[in-house]
Amino acid sequence: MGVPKIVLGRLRRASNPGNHPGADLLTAFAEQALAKRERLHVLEHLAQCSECREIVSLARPEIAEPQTSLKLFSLRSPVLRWGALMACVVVVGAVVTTRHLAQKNVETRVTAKAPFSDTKDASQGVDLKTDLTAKLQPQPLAKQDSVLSHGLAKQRKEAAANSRALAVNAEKAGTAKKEPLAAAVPAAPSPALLSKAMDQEQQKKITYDSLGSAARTSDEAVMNETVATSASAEVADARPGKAKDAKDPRMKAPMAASSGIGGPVTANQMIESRAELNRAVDLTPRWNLSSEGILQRSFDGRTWQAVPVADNAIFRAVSAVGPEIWVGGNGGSLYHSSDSGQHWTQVKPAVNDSPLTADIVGIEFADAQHGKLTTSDHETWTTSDTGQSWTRYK
Amino acid sequence: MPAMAQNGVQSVGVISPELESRMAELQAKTQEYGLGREQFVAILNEIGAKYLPPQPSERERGEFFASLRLEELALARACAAGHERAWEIFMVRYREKLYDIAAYIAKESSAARELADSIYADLYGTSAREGKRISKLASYTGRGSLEGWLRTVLAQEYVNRYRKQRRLVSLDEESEAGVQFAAAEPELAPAAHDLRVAAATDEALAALPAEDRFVLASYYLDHRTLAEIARTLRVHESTISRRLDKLAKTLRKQILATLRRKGMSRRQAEEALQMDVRDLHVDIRTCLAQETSAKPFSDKKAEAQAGEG
Repeated sequence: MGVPKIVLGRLRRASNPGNHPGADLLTAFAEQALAKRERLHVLEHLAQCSECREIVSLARPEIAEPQTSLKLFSLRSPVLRWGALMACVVVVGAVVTTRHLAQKNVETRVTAKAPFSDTKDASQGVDLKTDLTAKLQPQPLAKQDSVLSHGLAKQRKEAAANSRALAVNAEKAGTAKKEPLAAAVPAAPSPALLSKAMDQEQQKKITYDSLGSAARTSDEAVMNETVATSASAEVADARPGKAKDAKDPRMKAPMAASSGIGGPVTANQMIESRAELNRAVDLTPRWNLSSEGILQRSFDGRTWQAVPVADNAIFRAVSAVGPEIWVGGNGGSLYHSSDSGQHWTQVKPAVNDSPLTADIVGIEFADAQHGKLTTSDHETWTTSDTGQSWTRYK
Repeated sequence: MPAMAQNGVQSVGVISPELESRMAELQAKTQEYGLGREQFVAILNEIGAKYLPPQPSERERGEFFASLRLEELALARACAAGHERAWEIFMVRYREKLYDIAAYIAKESSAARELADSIYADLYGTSAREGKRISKLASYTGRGSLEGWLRTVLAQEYVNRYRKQRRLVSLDEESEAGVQFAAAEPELAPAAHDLRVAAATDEALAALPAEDRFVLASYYLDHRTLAEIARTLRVHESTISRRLDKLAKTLRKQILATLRRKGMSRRQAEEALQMDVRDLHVDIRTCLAQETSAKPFSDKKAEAQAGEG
């Protein structure tokens, strides 16, 4: 709804602003540094003076200051509060249900029959490996995840089929190969291991190795898996004396699929952990200093949040290399955080017991150890051991 | 505080313990900048006398001095006093920023450089009074950050220049820009019911808080975006959006109520408010006469010729 035109006409005519406030008052108004009485006085003037409104608007800093939008819990209306609560309940319910269904689905697929012969498995395994290699390399992570989980489900089927075939061979031969046979079954990569591995490349490697091994004959599979992935061997070793279980692959395969370090972990959980990892990467904060010399952090580049470092410190320079943050300012005050601003330590640069007292106006760190400070008296201080010792240049 | 101002340097001991401790922290800085303690106290007294009410309470005085940017104030005043070391520090800290801010305000590199250079000259102080150069930095009082103050000073200079330039626009340029062809504001005597609507509107506007009028003027007159207004007032833009909606409703309701109090029926009041009063002033005869007029810009042309002559 707009205002009636007469209101705009009268608003325009109502301008009798009187004396313009000085630059210092306008600055203090823009920085919210005025007392209530003075603020009202300036607002009264601004409401009538388009010129001063223009000046305040032009003088506004380019980067957004921290806004009250960060007050996520300022839902005053009870309707909004209850609405938000209901929305949370629905979202949590949906997530739990989806996870439960997906978990069931994966387990069902693993227990399904897979009537492949050894030779067929071998050729299919190679094809699958090549296919996955081609698909995983150029695609985005989300897509890779789906391909990976699909590959894992297939691989489990093949492992189950292998174990069945091997069990039959072993019975026929009547040899004492039951132990290695049993080991071959859990040689399929455990999702728990994959979910624990933070390195995506490492995950791919394990997947490829185990996909290859699943395609080989039983003896080769046992040997290669034991050498290539010691983690898989650990899982196998953790189940000694269960060779007789190999006779009943329908029982063994689900156990192999669901067993792992720390309890049963599904492919779905693995994908979720990967998604969490991706989110963590996206949440790398950006750093900035406000005109008041306060350190600020932003996760989206739009809203900035003040980060408390030290009382009475006015910062002039900041440097961020991954989680290593250095911030410096007045009187040589220098602070370092190695955990993305969670904890801060004051660093007191000194050379021959002569401390740095000038303002720090520039900080450049190439990595966690090597960095350079520039001071207001044109000195340069360098460190190559994370600020333990310093060298001064004039 | 006025007592302090009058006593000037002698009133050093009157400063609150909090300010004393802050000054002690700053002592090394002020000395580095070449500013003596007594000089600095005199500056603080002068600022207090300027901004504090006549009989300030102890709390008011404490809060006021606590809100000042003392370190930046010392630097600015030392620069204004011509201390070389202070200038060096000022240059290191603010030279680049000054040009960046000018570029942000002027949006064009040559204009930005010109703007920054002119301010830079003012800051250094080109004009002299009684043998002393007058630096613009002497008017910084530490009420906001020095960087913010520089922004405001640049913005003021930019607006002043724009105003000067507008005065110097030639008739040809004005004509090309279409300014001369804009319809003249009608200055006819308004009808009686217009006066009643105008009075009711003025009354409703006057009853609004200053911040609400600022929001209305910024949005409807200056065409600022919700985000821009929100950033100025440090609130979320949805707050401004809600406030504008509420203001529109409240104003309408109050004007209607006033009109009804003044004897209009509800329907009459609504009709009077919905009518665009500017349309009511359109005098077709005058408009037609303007179209057929032989010399629509005769006054301005005559002025221009007189100027040339």
